Amino acid sequence: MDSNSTMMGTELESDLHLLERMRFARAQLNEEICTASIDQSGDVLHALRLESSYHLCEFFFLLKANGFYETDDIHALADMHNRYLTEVLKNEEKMRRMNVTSERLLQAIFTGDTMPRLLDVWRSARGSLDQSNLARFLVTIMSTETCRKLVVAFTKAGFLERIRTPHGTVVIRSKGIVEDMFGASIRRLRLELQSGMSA
Amino acid sequence: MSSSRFLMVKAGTLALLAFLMTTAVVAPAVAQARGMDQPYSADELTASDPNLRQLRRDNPQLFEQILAAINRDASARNSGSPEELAAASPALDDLNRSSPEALLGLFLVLKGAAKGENQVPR
Repeated sequence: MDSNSTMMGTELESDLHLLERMRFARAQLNEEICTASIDQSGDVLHALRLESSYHLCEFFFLLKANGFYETDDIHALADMHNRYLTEVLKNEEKMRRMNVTSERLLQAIFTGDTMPRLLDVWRSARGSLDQSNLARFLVTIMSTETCRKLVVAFTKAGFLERIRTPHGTVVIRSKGIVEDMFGASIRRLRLELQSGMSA
Repeated sequence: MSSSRFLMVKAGTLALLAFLMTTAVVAPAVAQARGMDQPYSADELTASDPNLRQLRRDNPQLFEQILAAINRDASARNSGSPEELAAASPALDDLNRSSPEALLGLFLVLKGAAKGENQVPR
């Protein structure tokens, strides 16, 4: 084996190591989430193990990490969301790749009806969202039904407060558990990889 | 899932399918009458959806952008197999539809909004 192929072998080993650690971190996080659930029934654990469950955790982590829990006003986020969906609507090929229809995207745009309520609910208690508005934010990555199913599971698991308002809507708010677990998982992975690189 | 919940979901699904099947039958007929290449009007688009009516009132510029985007491929709205329509419905679509591109888009939306960026992720 010449030095070139030795180097390629080492590179490949490093690539495999990175892939392994990423897979491990994800599996470990999922295990932690399932263990932390106060409801250990099969239905709840099944929902928590869905790929979409990871994405919901990531969304809450991103809300926190980007500082949205520290502000009363999330108009900037809703506005960026609306403009992003408008961009996606212009691109048929992108919609096909995302497996999302123009009708679904249109329903997810915050309008004069839904925007004030989004802002009011958030302002009344930072981090609070109508379940329907949470589904709007997540429209490109999961169906409304998946979002509803996960909200139910996350609530039973003790990760979300889910409150039915007198208006008939459901307001949810994260208790911060999944954000912390997700953040810790990402940080562990980063530090592990950094120490591996410096070794 | 409880039996009552299952029945509600099933009833909703059937109603949705019935609506979609009606659309599948009516849309080509309408399209035939108005010409396959004829673009959709703002009134046609808003007739079917209260959210769109609201959007047209509140944000006419955005509504026009959407109308133009849809009319870019008007024939795509004229027909579809029941499978395609079912796949396109919110209640029946893939329960795990996320794509890496969509995940990146959502990440960039949150990051961009937090930093007050003007540029929308593409």
